[in-house]
Amino acid sequence: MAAGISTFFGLQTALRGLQAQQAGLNVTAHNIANADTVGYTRQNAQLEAVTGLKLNAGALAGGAGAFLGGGVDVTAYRRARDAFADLQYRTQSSVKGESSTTAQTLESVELALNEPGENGISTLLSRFWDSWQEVANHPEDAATKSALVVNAKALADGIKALDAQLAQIQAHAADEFTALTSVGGDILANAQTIARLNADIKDAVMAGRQPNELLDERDRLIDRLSELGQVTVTELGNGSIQIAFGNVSTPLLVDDETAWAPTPPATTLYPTPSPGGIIGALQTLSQPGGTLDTYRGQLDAFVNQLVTDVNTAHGAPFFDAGGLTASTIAVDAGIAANPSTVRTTNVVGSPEGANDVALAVAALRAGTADRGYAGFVLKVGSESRDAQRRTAAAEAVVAAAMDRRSATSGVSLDEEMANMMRFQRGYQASARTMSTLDEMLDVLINRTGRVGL
Amino acid sequence: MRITQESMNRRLLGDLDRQLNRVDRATREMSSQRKLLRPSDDPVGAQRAVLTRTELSSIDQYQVNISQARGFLNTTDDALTEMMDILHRARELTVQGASDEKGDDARKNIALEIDQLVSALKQAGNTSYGGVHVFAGTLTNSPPYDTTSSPPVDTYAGNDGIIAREIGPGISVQLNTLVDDGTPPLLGSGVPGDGGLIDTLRRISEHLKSGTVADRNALRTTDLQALEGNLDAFNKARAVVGATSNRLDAADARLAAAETAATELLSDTEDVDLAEATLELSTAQSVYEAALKSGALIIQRSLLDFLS
Repeated sequence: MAAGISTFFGLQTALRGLQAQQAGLNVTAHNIANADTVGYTRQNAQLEAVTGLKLNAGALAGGAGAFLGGGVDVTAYRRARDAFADLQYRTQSSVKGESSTTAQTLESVELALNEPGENGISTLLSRFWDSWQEVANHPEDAATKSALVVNAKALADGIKALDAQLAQIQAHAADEFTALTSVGGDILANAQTIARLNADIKDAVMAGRQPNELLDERDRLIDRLSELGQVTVTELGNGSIQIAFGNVSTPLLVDDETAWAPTPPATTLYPTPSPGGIIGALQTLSQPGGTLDTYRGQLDAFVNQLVTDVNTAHGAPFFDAGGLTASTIAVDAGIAANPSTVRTTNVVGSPEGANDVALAVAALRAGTADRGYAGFVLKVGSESRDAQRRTAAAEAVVAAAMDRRSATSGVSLDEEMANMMRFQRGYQASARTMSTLDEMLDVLINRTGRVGL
Repeated sequence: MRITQESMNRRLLGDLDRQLNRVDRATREMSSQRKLLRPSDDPVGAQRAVLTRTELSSIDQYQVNISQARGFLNTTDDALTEMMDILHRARELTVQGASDEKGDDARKNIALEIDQLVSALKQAGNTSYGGVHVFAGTLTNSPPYDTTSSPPVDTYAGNDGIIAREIGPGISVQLNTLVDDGTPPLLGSGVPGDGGLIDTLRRISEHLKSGTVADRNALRTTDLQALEGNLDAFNKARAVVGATSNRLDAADARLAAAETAATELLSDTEDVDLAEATLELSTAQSVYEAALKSGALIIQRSLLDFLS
């Protein structure tokens, strides 16, 4: 044998093998333990053959030199992560957050509407017109006028209640928006945590360590942010990242500093285009001129039409002339106090049996006001349906993106089992090598030179 | 594609959720018997349902209007019949009183009966339907003729206002019969010379009471002619009432047809097709069960089961 190779070299090689297989088993154990952990990325131990031992010339027959392999080393614990899958997931997650928030809110609007059914505004409106017909049938009867005023009050109350509910839904959306965007809100809290993680990750990377768990945690938080609004992640090169959020030019955080803190991002930070995600949906729903504002405007237009038409046909305020919006509609105070002052005729001297005015008001049924309300129901219905459809589509795409991501990063138990067997066998074989070498040395040390003893 | 337990689990859960949603929807449709639960289920249908409901409610109201109008017209018709009976009796009496064979006393008795007939006529003119005086124009709260004063006052206290009833969208009919309108008016305002039946009868009564040759001649000629004119007016009035009644019947039939159509449209828009819903429910249920079963089978097994 050539000079320069230790007697125990092979033992060392076998030891490295044992250690590497053990490391592999440890990673497998870690993967299995985290098979169901949210945001966990599958890891694997990266093994590499150790650089060979250089043998001097003459080590081989014919006088050549050579390298003798020294076994294996664990060079890294790698995360199996696909950056493109992350990008895709986060884009779709924003869309899903936006459409599902919109769909949920519009569902509450539909519940408030209570149409089509026996308890919606349309039924109250029908009863109101029916009462006018009854007054036309019995203009001399005080009871029909009282019934008319009762039904008119019910209609006004119903419209007011609907408007109040819409206002409440709008206020809820605005509150949620503020809660998410203010200090202590989800966005800033997430940003601050990510900034701290950035600092830790940077330190670890500089020290040459592999902060897998920190990276997982950071990715999980970015996922959450992407649901809240559109997220653009830029790598800064040292393991740290910068995040732009919600289509705002100032980044939410750079490296280990939250750029927006401590001032809460004011609503004005979100100009058009929409920030996307849940924040975007809440903004579109609640802002002045937003979805709910438009609905309330349409309800106001309906009320304006109704009050104006009825009062014109009535020839005197039947509804309070000042109450031209859904929140202020009311039966005229004089008429409410004294239903017999409901006008039924324009004829001079107001003979009690004449009903020309009552007929004129009753003829407003199915007119511009009624159609305006039906159009309002149609608008709410189609927008809600649209949001539901977009949610369903976004959910499907998000599910596909998640599948794609877990195809790379997810833990497959079958695969881990197979790996386990692999490492186990490798370990066993390395151990066998070691005992074989041991036996060899045993012969050398204990048996050599004892001939004849 | 690399499949992991987690992604399979998630997909299974997602599918189960979707199927369960379908079962839920089908169950709700079955139990409520409605397929249009919210406007977003069918926005255009919801708009149609709102408008159709309004239409149905208005049809109901028109039907109520028609049934009340019919009562009003029947009351009017009965009263007119009564008045015509009076007119016929008055004509008989006039013919009797005009005869030269009757003595002054007999004529005065006839005159007294004619006066009674005028009272009855005014009574009939005060006919009311549900508290509404049908011959009072639009002054419906008070009787148009005074039947209590002595000596009698024939002045008409009503007006010639029209009572209209809406019996369909944009269709209204005149319900009341005017008794102090036209030439001659039906009953008249009690002003001598207006030619109404009251005026004619009062004149006949005077002619009978005075009983001169000229008066008897008048009874035979002008008074009988005036009665003919009054009879003509009554016939016309009853014809109008009959025609209005026919219009009500026609409108009623039209409304019934419209009601059927609207109810059908509303039902098509809102109501569930029972056969379809039952099928959908059982399909949704069996799909859900199949998903559950296959899920239970898949999730049970992994390589772990086969390693010793």
